[in-house]
Amino acid sequence: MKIMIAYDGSRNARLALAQTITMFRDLKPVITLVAVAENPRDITSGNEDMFQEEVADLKKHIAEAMEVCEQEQISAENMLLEGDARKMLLFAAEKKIHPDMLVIARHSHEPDGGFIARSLTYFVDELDYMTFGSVSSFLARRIQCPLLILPSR
Amino acid sequence: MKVADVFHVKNPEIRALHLTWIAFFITFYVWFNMAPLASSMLKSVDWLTADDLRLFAICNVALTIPARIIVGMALDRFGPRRVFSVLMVLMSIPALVFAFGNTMTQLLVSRLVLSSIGASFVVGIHMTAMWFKPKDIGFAEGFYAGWGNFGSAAAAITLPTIALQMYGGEDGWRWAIAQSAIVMAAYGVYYWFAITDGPEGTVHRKPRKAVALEVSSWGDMIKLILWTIPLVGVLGILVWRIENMGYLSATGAVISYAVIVAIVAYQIIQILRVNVPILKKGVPEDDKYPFNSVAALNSTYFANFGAELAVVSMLPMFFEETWSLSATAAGLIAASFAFVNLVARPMGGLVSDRMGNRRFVMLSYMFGIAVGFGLMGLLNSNWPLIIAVGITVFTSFFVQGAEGATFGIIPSIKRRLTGQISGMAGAYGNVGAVVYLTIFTFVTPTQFFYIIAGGAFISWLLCMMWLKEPESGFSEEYQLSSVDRQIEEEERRRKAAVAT
Repeated sequence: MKIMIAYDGSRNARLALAQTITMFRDLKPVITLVAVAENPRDITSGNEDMFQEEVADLKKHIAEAMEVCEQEQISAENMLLEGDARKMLLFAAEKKIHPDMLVIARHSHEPDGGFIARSLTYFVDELDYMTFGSVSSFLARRIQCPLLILPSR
Repeated sequence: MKVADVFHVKNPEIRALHLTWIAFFITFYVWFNMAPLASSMLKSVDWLTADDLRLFAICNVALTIPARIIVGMALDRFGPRRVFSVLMVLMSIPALVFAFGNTMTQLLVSRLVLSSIGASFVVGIHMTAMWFKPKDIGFAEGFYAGWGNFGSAAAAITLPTIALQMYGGEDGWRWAIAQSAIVMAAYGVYYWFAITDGPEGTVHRKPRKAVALEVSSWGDMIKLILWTIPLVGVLGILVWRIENMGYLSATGAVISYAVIVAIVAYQIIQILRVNVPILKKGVPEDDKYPFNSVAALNSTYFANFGAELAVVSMLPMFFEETWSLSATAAGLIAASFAFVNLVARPMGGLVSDRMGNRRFVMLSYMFGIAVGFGLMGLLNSNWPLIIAVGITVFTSFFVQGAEGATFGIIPSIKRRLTGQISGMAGAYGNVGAVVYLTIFTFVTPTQFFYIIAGGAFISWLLCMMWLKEPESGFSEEYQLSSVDRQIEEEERRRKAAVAT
């Protein structure tokens, strides 16, 4: 059983990893953690430092997750890609890893702020799902293996 | 980052974004403060002709390209805050000279100098880049560009009212222009004290000095040289036109041509100096990028931003004359073209991000521009005004969306070179404006719209042939085998950081 997890180190991603281990432990899964460093959509080169920081952060998160897997005695691999998160996850699943299942955690957009801010956020999120702008909806539409989407809590 | 975050003015980066787009907005307001007042100028200054105004419109976009180069160098040395402040204060001088100019020479030269203000876009983009995280930067820059560009619409909406109702009289237009210049100078001073270059504690590191764009093959180098020539070479057209209209002596023209040739030659030498050693060594396969994509994007920006600058410069007059409106009403209606910017430009970037295929989005937008201007070419006084406005908005929606889409693709061609690629594409917007406005001095508005539609169509063809869907990061993947290796890597980076 090969399970690929889209992992970005966020709270949701950590929960997703824990849940996956809990649910599928008996199947002796091999977990592949895939992180994507999103290319800055920046048209100057003034932001390179911040991008490198982000890559370093991701590496740290992945290292932590690998330790968790080790403690739980689950065999794990990892991969760090660079580019558009949605397209790179699709690419990794289809071309590189060929998992039996892909796990992603849906991001929570807890709307905050006043009435205007809340409705605006709600509207934009809705637009996100309609246009497959969010990672989960994009992959749900295109991926060719079973997909498990864990809701955020 | 959520869209609603733009209301959190207390956040330092959001505050910086607002301060910066307002600065950009004001510079655009001043940059396009002539078009809506053109008819008032003709009425009050008896020796001005319509041809002179068309010439001013070209001058108004001419020196932006060299100014971009100078501003780019200044940015590396002084950082965006100082450059933006100084630019705003300095450029209020030619704006004031233009406002109270009484001879042809004064008006012509001040407008030429004032065209440098178009370089403000680059400064603000750099400022925005310093404040936002990589994840949010696309949105922040789209927001900045869209709301700043809206300055040209604001000028068209408000200036006629200010000139005719507030000040009134013969010289109302002079005071309206002067007022915009004074506001800009004041904001320039305020900006200096209100903002910092990036969050507190950012060290402004000087980027590696890049004098020319790196390419991946000999053929690409030839293409780069060919595409570099028009950047400054296009000013030759302007010199020829000014001489043609009798405002420049033959000697003056020859000197100007010589200067232009010298600059172009210098740029070509720089390209050779940078690229010949690289190409001799050979470029590794995974570091290659297709220059054709850059060329295609140059052409799209030529055909969309160039068209926007050109059309914004002539639209108020076109509406005024075709439907015999008052200057105020024409300004308001013509502003519908730039008004869409608020939504359309950020949306272009958004659509490009959302769809699975950026190339398809770019092609659709370019095709839409060609159709839109084709329709605008059909307009005449028999058409009801409301339909004309509808067509204008439709066209503008595609024009500005395409700008957003162009800058949506640029970061994914080659990340290392993004700054230079976007600089080149951005400059091509001005090349487009100069070419289009020069053509405009020879043709009627109707023919002019058809020509712009043709330009967009050609760009669409070039994209069909040359633009490749960018494949980001497929070649660059890091396999982290273990924590040890990672620590090693960090050690190495720390050592490298100490060494530099």
